[in-house]
Amino acid sequence: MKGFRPDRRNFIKLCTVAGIAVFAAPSLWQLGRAGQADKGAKPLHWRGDGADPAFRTDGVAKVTGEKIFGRDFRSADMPGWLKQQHYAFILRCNRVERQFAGVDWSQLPEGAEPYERITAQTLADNKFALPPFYGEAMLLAEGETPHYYGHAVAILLFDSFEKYATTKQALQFNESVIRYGEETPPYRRDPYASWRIIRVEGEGGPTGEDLYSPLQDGIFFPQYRDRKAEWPSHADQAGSVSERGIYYAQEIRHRMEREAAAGNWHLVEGDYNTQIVEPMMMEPEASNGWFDSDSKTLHLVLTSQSPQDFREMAAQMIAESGFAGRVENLVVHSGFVGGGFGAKDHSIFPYYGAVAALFARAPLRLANNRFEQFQAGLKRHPFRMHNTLAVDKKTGKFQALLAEMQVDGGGRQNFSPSVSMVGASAIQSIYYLPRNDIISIAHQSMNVDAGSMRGYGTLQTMNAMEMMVNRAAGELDLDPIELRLRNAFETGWRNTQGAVPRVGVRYREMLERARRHPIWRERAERKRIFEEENPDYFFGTGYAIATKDYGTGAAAPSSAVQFDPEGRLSLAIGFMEMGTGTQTSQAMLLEDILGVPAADCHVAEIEAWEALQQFQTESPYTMSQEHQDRMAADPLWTPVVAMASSASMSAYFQSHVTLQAARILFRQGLVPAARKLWQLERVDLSELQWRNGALEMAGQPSLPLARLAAEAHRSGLVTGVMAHGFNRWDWAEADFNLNGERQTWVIDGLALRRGGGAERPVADEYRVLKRSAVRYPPTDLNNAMVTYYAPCAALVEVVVHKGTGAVEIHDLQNYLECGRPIVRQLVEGQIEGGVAMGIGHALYEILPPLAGGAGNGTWNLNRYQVALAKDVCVWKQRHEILAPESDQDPHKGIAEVVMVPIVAALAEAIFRATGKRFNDTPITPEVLRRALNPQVL
Amino acid sequence: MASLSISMKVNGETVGPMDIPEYTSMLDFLQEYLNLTGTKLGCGIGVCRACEVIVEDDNGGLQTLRTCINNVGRFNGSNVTTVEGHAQRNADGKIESLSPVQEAFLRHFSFQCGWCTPGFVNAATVLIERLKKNPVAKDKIEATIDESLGKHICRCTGYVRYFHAVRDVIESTPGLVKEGD
Repeated sequence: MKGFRPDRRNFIKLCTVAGIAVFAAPSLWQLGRAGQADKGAKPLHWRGDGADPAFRTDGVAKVTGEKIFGRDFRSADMPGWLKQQHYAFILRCNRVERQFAGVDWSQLPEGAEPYERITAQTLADNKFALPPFYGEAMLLAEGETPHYYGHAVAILLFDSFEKYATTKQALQFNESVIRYGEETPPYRRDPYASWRIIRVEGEGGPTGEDLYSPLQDGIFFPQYRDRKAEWPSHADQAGSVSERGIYYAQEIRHRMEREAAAGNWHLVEGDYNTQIVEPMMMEPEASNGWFDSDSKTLHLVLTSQSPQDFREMAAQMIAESGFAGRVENLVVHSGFVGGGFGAKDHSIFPYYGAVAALFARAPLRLANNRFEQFQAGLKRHPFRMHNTLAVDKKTGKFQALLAEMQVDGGGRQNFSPSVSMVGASAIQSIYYLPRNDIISIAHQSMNVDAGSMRGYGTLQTMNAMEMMVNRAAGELDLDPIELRLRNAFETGWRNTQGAVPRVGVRYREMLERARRHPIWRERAERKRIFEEENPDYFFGTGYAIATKDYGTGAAAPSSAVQFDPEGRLSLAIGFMEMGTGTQTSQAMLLEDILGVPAADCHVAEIEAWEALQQFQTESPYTMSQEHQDRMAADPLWTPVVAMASSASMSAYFQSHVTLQAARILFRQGLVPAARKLWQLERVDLSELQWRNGALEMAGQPSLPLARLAAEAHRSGLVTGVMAHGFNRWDWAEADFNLNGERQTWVIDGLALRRGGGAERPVADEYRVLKRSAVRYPPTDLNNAMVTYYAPCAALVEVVVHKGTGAVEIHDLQNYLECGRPIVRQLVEGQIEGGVAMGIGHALYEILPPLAGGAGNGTWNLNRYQVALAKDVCVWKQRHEILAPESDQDPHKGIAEVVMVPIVAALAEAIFRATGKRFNDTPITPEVLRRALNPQVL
Repeated sequence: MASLSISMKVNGETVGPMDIPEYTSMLDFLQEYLNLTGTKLGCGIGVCRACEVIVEDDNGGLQTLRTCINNVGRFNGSNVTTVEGHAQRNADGKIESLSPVQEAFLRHFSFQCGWCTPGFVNAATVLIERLKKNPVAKDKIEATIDESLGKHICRCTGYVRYFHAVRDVIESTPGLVKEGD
């Protein structure tokens, strides 16, 4: 069987990029399940009988070792592929101070030579260049200076596993295989991005009009000179946005100096530094690619969190290369992601896999081992911050915050601009600040590139804020929770950008709960007793709270909900399953609206996009209001067609569109069917309710979904709805003519289906329904930066060994406000997992910069320590999920915030235990040991 | 490249004899020669234990072994169980029932991404089998789990749900817990 025929139904054509047709293959989840577990068989049905699902929809596959992850698939597993499997690996520089002088090919083991050596020359000969997002020099050319540690220089292709394994073993740690020449100056370039958030409240206070803020006045940027940012210096209260900004920035500083000198304000000033962190997602990156030259088709299996963007950018890259014309089709298969944490979001790795596959003679597997993943995988940005927090001594109210953040983005830009922006906008945490001047600059360095790792800048900056607040409480002799209560942000107030968060905040409630907890109330007594009984240990209690923005300012989720005549519901979403349980929770969302959960939830689906016929134009972040207004007149235009998957984006954003689609299906499909069956002219929606999978209305026989579905199919009613939404810190809404009635839905694209089954949605069964009007959030909301928040807090007790400095968590209470949890157990797993990762960040995980760091290729878990069960208080830790205030509360994105507050809570607990205050993470046993016992080397 | 003649039982099926290059790890053997990819590469140096499988010793006892740092020759002639071998399947290969450990991990939502799950399934299964022969005192259950699973790395779910699931299996399976010490 040939591997690819574009007319086959099982590949979905998405678009054509510069002459290359881009296809999405069915998710590998479906492929893996073919002939495997009987998904419907009792007792293995995931839904179970309780209010919550019995287990995850992907649970059986994961406990039985099914092939579901991208890394699992070999050529033999891929229908239609050539069965032979070839292998590849990448050679990388581990030095930067000398020119790359070529590879010593004589070191290749005899009999195990690669059949192809792809070098920079190969790429140049074939006109391959990385997509601009990734920068230059995909492979470093001879004579050039490595841009960063781990810069790739060659890809070697082998026709057997034996040759590949033999050569990799011989070369991977071989210091002499890459030759270095003359010493060279370091590779440098301008900062990746610079941001400045200045705000001064006006006379109206937190809710009034600001004197100056990014939302009100806009933002301005520096010039770069000698690779450094130089901000405008001219100040003028009546001048341009920058002149006014500088005026108010200076005003804040002058006021701070005056008030501090007068003894009115207490200043907490210090340096706060975070480390380079390895995401350490458990599945290292891999790709498997086959270039079928007969059908001019490149097939790829990826481990990516962002296959949508990869598809387009890879097609563009190929279209602009010497392979243009030789590749007419690009087919991308996506599997489940074996942990992401941002490390697989817009990673450069799949591009190496794609290029290498084009030069291979058979399907080619490029798979990082863990050393390679450390050497080349995206990292968490280290932040160097100098911050000053001004507190009114009488009232304990925060008066001003100054922050200067230097963010190390590593050797390639990746998401450094937005990470530095989000970090800057997040430092306010849960607090109201009447004045702020926050500067954040993302720098190029020779470290391994950093990306969108979990926390996205906020872990770094919010913990610095929490450390400052704890220090301020100590220096002002205030209870740390009391100080927080005095400064907690209120619903309707303005944030540091001048925007008003869209989601209600319940910080006070969360603070009060911790204040009443015995760990907090009895902390002095507990410390006394423990230290009396355990003279070799210090004991301390710490608290911290954080509120994490979630969203990107350009969220664009899609969902398709449909049923067959038997009432079997299926759901398709664009999101990947990265382990967070998106597939399960999205399936469950339908239950309230359509009576039962989705029997199948197809993740990483794309078909909705095609049926909706939408297109995009300029960047949603930089487009003008005029452009948006003009384009919005076209009912098929949207600011963004598709978005990357990230763990924090599904609960709120994906859920919104899934719920909209389900509600439209209910209104347009099931309610008319019920009306027919009940023979009523009209029914009042408020009188309808689901019970045990049947629709009920007083005085009428209850109607099981199967009966309604059969009637909907028989009568030609709507049986499937695809919807697309757009969110720029507020949702777009549009009007549609549905059955002669103008209805407004909070989406911007809609397609409907009549008839059909409940298998995977088929694009051409749907008909687009063009909107009659649309209202997009204004483009100036881009200046708001973030307005959605979910808070989390940690209350922790530690014991510290006086001799070794080892920290043990003695007790731990977490708090989370997540709106309405969709599946409680999934949220709880997120809390516990986030805490473990936060503990690692606080106490253990660190990669040194530059030559000793991950880019040198020698790092692995033997010396990179992540938290183990013994480190996380596994039997005693508890959490409290605040009950939703109403059944209208949103489902909030919480995958990032859950790992934040434990960091500063631990730092404070260590201070309260030992009297040693640390501003830098991690606070390793060695750091503590040296602080406690400076006399011991 | 010198080779070894390898034969063993994997999940009840005889494999080999096959000539395998002598420096091949058991993990590579499972993945690249048998196409059994349920056993996962985590670190490749024996730290994270995602790659653990079960090997039966001469007395019928079970032990876990890390496949990333053990050569395939170490398993020659052995009876090996991987994560793919725990569930009961019908003649068509469809799953009819899961092992108690698998079932407990499901019900407790013990994992998220699931990459570390095979190692936990195998280690917990060996622990349960060991307790059938040597029951544990009730007050030692948690310490016993700590000892058996404490070196496994989970990056998503923070261990709590794995550990509680195993405690549930121990407490609910007759004969695994003894009274007193």
